Amino acid sequence: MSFLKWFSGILGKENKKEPDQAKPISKRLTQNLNTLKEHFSLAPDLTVRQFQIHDGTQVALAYLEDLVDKVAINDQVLRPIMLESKTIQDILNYLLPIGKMETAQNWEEIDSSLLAGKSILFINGNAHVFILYTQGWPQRAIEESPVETTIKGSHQGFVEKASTNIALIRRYIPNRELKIKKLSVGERSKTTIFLLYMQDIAKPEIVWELEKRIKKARIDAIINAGELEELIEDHPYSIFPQFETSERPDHTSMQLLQGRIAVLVDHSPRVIIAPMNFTSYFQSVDDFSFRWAIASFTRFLRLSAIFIATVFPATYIAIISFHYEVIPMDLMLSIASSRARVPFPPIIEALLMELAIEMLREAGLRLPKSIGQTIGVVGGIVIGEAAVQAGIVSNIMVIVVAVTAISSYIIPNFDMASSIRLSRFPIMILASILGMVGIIIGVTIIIIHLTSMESLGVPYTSPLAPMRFSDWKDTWIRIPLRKMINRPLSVHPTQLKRQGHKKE
Amino acid sequence: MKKVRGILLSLMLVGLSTGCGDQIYLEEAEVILGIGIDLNENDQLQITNSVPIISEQTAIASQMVTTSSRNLRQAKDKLDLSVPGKSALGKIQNILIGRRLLEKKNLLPYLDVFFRNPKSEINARVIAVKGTIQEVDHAEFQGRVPGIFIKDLIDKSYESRNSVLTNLQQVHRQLLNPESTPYLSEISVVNKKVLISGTALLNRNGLYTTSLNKEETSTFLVLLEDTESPIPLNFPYRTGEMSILVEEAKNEIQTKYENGRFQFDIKPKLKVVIMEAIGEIDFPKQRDVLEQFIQKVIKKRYEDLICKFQQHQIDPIGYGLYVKAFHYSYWKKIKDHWSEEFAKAKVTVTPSIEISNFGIKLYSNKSMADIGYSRYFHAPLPVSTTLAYVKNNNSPGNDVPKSVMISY
Repeated sequence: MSFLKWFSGILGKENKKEPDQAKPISKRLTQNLNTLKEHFSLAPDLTVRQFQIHDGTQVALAYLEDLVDKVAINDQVLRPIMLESKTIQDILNYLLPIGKMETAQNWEEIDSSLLAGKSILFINGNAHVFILYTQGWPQRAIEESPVETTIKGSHQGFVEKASTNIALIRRYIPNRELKIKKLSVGERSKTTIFLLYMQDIAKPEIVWELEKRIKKARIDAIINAGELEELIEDHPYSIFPQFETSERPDHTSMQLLQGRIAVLVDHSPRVIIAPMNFTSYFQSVDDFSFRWAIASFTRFLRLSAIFIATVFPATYIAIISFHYEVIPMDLMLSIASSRARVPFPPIIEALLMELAIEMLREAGLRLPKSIGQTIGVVGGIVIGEAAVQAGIVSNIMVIVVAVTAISSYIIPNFDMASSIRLSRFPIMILASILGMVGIIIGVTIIIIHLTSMESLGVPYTSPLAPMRFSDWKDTWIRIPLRKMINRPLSVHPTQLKRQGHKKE
Repeated sequence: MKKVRGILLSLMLVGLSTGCGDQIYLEEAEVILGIGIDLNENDQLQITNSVPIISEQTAIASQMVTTSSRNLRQAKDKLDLSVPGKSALGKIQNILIGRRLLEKKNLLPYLDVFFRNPKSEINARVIAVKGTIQEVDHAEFQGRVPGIFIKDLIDKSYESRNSVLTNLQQVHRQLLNPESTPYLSEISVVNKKVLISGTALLNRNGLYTTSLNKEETSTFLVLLEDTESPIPLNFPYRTGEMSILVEEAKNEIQTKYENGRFQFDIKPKLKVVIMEAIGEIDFPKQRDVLEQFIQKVIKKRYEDLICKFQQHQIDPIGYGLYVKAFHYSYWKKIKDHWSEEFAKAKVTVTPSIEISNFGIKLYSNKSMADIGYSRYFHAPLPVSTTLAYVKNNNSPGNDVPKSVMISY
């Protein structure tokens, strides 16, 4: 009974205390300023500049310091109003050289505008205020993303301001069909979300579905794009990412042109790209700037890296604890002699090394860049060499773990690489219990899981299952661009032919 | 929740499964690389195992463990008492059979344990030893593990066509099928060194009857049509020597049953390459002459070999299969004593030779012909061929090479 009570208590009393939020503003300036100070109590960065213009009208400009562009406030707002204006009408007609200006009549709008870095112009005797778009906040310069580096691609990366990011994408796709939908998520943060897609390529159902999911997302505040990603993805319990996040405008534009949708989250330099397929995580922007044969070879390297990263340590464990018959004669002797001193069973040995490598990786991430590298080298040499010397692990195991670590970093997408790194641990344990049969079981489970997954309703393993042969031109290999006439079917584009080929 | 319960249950089932039972850690396994089976003076079974000693320092040290017992299974149990690990049969490279055992006992029951155990290596080479296993035990192996040394020796000499290669699976077929009799590669120990000595032939009962030497083994491979890599044959030609390579061999065989005995008409069709011929030959004018000459040689070789088989009442080639295929009604009557029937059979050999390549002709100039030096050579092998001229600049006015080295 008490449980029910507690339960109803949660649902029942939603304390709604904002009766004055929707309250209209009054005509009197002093009253308005008092209300404003009430709303923004304990906010020392609120600045209110009150003054008279020539005809004696009392005017006040309110803004949050540091959220506004001070040069714009001084030069484009205060100077003309204070020095040149004769009447209020002058100001509104031609004296405010500001790109965007709105009027507002209620307090809710005023508060959110102030918090967004806009400045508010109160005029005595008017029952409405003017909202001036004077935002300007500390912002970092556009630079290349440290996570997604390319050799031949552009060296621009997204920044924390969504509008800048849109500009970066528009530079790649100056096309009317690039549509942008503006949404907002977060009860408190009211984070602005932009949905970018090519209207004549992206399937409307997918756009609609994504929009619906974003609108349904309930959260206090979106700090980072990753949070939104988790709220809107199809399988939150899966270890595999279902959307891609990228910091590269060129990559994002490429994906847009394939019919995918980009979700820009304000405050976050990462853009969510959806829907994704498992195989598209292994494509990189560089693939299209390298010669196709070289790019195809790199693709092949990445695909083999998936297998090495998931099953190589497990296979080694299975072989040396169950199937010694499959090792070539001479190799068998050298493996056996290096294993002879190790007191642990292979699974413990492997887990020790794998965990050490993962810790090294994590440690390298946390440390400042200059020390990070040192830790990597020192850790690698010290742990590897000393552990072998001390007889805790065998030489061969160090090689196995190192090869696995290297191949897991070949995968260009960070999220996918992390998922694949994680997936090898259960397989290793299965291999130590059941040998090769265990590996088969583990891999089968993963494959079943992957095939049953969807990303925004699009089959995750497409073009492999369902089989779409025409998409293989950009999956296993990268065929020359002249032959790449169709967009990938896996994304269900409404316009299949790429436009350059339309006339032919 | 239902899903989670399902996952937990299946994880528990995986944990409880009996998978770990046949776990065998490599470094703890006593990996037997070679087994020697022989009889000692008292006709007791004597088993020798070659096991590498796996230690941190060296991988090549190995030990030979010998024990005598009534059968192999008992021997394995006895050996397990003396070695620290679990003996593992999965990597047996070769099974050596001593001459004394081959002469006295049928081989099959002794190999039975390998056929029966699914984990034993079916590709193990079965090798006859001309002598005792003790001799092999005391031989020197250039610091290598004996099991691997002998395996490499047999493989390499099979590749260079000086030996046959019979693995456990083939021996099983040869021992049990009435259409043919077994043949094994044979090694001997001379001055503490292990050498290939040819081919050991067993009769229907799995007992040793006779051996083929190296030259006969090469011809035997031609008879078996085993020309995966070309088979070299050497024979005297006029005053010099001739070496040929048999690139393709196809023995067409027709069988008849006449006057109470079988008749085999063997028509070998060989495609040969002349590797080297020393003496004065003029190609291609003498092609026909040369082909006829090789035909004669081949015919002689075939007849000698088949004659030897008939003398010893063995049929390693498997002519019984032709009888079974084409004269089944007779075969049913005689299949239990086919070897005796084969000994009575009449065999005619009419080879046809096609010289596919003469190679190139060096030194056809008069001066060389004068000194009776004419050499043809060809390099048909896919292996790298090096030709080195050793010029003799000391003799004035004579810039022809004095000697030619050809190595394949």
